Amino acid sequence: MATQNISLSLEQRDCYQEIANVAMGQAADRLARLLDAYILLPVPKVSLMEFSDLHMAIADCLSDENIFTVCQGFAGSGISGEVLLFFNDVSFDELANLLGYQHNEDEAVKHELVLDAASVLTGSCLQGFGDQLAIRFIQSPPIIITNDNQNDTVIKKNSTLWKKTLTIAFNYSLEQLSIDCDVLLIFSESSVAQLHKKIDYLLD
Amino acid sequence: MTKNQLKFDDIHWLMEILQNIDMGIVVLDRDYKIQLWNNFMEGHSGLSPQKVQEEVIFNVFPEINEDRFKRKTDPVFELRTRAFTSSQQQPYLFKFKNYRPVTGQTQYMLQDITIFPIEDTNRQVNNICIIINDVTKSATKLSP
Repeated sequence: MATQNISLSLEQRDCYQEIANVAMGQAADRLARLLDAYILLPVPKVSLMEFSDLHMAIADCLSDENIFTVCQGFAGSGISGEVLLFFNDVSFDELANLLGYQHNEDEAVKHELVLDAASVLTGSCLQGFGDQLAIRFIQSPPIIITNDNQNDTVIKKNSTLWKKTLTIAFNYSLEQLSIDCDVLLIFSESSVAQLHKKIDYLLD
Repeated sequence: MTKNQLKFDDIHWLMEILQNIDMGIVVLDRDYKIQLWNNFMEGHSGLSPQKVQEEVIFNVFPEINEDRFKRKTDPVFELRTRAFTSSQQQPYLFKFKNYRPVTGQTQYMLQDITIFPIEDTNRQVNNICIIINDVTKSATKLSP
């Protein structure tokens, strides 16, 4: 696959930033209602990211035992990507409380808890973006990424497939609860052109 | 052929696909009553659509943990997000007996589940759809 030359003009960046702000505001509002908890308004950061930087960031998180990493794919109107969620110092007790689960030390239950939380977080932000851009994004099942060589090999394989892409980073944290999750929305390189088209239409 | 006739054919096609696809499709309303039950579900449960129609799913399938299931479906109704269960964490939602006498290696069918909201014509979500994927083969790592 040929990699494309991706650029981001100042106007485009502002536009993405504005869309992201509105989307995250809506997402936080929806989440707060569902979870009946106050969510600190996330401040999204739009940027172009090189594959090598992303790979390094993931490797860093995977090597930290206190970070739980989940990945969830999405697609809609030919625009696709993956959402990476990094749960920092996750307290399973608090997460279970928040989602109304019975807390359990069982590993499978813990994993399901984190996966469910990831689906809800991903879903709310994708819906926010989808509403702004008139795209109906469909989420794929989330997967837990653990620190083993297999995952690193899989991620590294992508280095030949793309070089640079559009990402939106933000953080979800809940007031009074030690729940803190860094989210990285990564669009696939091949869908950035399509996404730019939508933005340029809005800018005109 | 008139335009209406064409539309009727389209719907007929869709129904054929819905019925014959190799996945379970179940639609529930807000009271968790079964609204749609495709061939896959009939085949593996032995219960006809007529039998389960308008029945509360927890009554028909007592193995489904009501609390746990409702926690999954709450965000689907309220937030319109998708919910998933993986056979790695929860081996099955519906307790279907293993139907493969030769290649089956587990007692029950292993299932990956996807649940998504269905918007009605007024853009309200009053129904959800459950997709049941038989992953017995891939989960037991039998080569294709």
